[in-house]
Amino acid sequence: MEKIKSEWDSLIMFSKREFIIWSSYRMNAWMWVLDVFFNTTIFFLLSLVTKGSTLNFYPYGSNYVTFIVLGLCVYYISFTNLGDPFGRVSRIYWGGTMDLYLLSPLSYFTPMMGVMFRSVIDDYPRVILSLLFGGVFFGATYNIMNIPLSLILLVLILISTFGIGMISASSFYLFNFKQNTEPVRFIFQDVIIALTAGYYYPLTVLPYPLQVLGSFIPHTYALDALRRLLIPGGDLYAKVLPLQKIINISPISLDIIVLIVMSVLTLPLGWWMYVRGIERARREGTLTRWQ
Amino acid sequence: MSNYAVEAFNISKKYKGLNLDKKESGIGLWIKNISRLTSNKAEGVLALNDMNFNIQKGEIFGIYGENGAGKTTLIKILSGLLYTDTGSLSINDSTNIKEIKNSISYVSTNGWMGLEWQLTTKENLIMYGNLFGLSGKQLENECDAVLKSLDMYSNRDKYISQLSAGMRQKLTIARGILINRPILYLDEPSVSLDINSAISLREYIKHYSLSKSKSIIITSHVPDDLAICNRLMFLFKGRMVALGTKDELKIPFNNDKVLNIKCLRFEERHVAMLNGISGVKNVLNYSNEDKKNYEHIKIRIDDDKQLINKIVDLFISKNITMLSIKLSEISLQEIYEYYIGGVANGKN
Repeated sequence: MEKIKSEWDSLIMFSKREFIIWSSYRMNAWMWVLDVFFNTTIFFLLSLVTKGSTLNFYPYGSNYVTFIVLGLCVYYISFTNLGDPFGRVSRIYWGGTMDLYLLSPLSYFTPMMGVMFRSVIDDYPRVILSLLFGGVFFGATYNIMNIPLSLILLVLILISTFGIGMISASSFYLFNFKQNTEPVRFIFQDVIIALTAGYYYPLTVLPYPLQVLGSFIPHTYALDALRRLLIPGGDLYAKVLPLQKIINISPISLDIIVLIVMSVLTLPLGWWMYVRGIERARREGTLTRWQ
Repeated sequence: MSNYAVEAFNISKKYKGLNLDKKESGIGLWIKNISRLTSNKAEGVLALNDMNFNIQKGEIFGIYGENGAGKTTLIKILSGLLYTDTGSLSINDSTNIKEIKNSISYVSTNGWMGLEWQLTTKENLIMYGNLFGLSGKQLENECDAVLKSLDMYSNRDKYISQLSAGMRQKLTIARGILINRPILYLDEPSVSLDINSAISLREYIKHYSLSKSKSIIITSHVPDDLAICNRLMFLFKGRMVALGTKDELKIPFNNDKVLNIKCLRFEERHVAMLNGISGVKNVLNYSNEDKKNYEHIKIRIDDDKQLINKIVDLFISKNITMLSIKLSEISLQEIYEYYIGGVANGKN
């Protein structure tokens, strides 16, 4: 119990530190709000192009602004949870702080979570802001009744993408990828997710092989379920994803099950690989840049 | 409970060679890195070789060696940051890595020192204390006390970027002291400090060890840093070449002194003449400093003042102009060179 309290106190300490640093850049905060606003605006303008066209968002209703705003929400979460851990480990390494963290009584995980907090401050509120800007300024509408289930889906996408992020981060030490990029993040974020996540278009418009490729990322299932649940007019029962056509249960249930399975697989695997990476660095003397 | 803060038995460390080509990147590098995972073909670099030693509780222990001798590797192994390849280690009567972490405080002054540049001096200390489970008003008071003891209190609200390199270094030492562990490791503690700050730091460390019964282990390639040490270890290319008090290490030198002479027109043939004078042990160093147009000679001699006259006579008879002459004790570097076998080569 004492150990858990100590880890928790340290997480609070990290969050305070990251908040102090983040808020010390006042201009940054304003730019941050404007960035979300303009991102939402761009997609509102795109929605004007699609207005009156025969483009089909079935089974996700017909409000393209809501469709996009939900895509942006998942994008922001993924950008942080999947894309950031590698960069944060890199920062710890180049900053020479890994030694300090490993000398402390903390678990390997806590400093990693702690340094992630800057991105959490930076990116998670964007989810709320984009929903807000979409609704207030650009005509996005939401099925309020389905918000509780949608929050569960957001938690699941948060965990599963973080699991992949940890696998990505582990390659810094485990595979000695000390350059700016590494294969896991590149393959997931820059290839599969960029092509098939469906942030800006439904997966159904893609060629079938790409739809199959998209079946291997959690984004596909999170966006499918969120859009069905939150966009007015969304169809809860139509089966459009490759896996939904194979397994005969309701699409939303399947989406949730797949997200749980992905979370349960990726997070422990990412954690295990990260620990192996640190242990490897302790053997080889590559914990920090400064030896 | 033993009397030892550190006991090391046959510890060795070999680093796997990383033969990275700067041009390598992308997929080629990925494949190469993954293939290394399952391969043992990479060349090894022996960083530490079969070391046996112990450090007593309350002792100030120095590890002296030139760059690349293995000092930082050794101190990282002693702190549990690095694993050994062979041998075993007991720190404060424990071999358990968690207990070792609770016994030691490691101050590294390398690189960026792990300081948070957007935080103030005091905020950095508080953050560090929090990492080690300290908090609240007590932590704040201890931060103030440590800052005062290192003459840093007036800088407590300055950001790291506003501190000089020496002040930043003092801050890392303050961090190490703050967490109050029985063993303190100081890795190159005075590297960015001016002479006066280095002297006061040494006095502080000595007082800290004596007053609080702390074991302190200092690694350095600066002899003055180690002047306060009870015992010294000489490291050379990963090997422990000598261990003892400074007096013990000086035994092969008896009471020999070193005569430092700056002169003009000294030639190599004069070395043999000097060695021919009874009482002259050897010429430690003979360098022709072209730019300054003079030669610098170090001669190891018996503790006999009359001998100086004989040497001066030789210089006069050979028409060698003496610019300055100074008699001094054998330095730590000279003792080190003797043990590593470089004395006869006149190696600096």
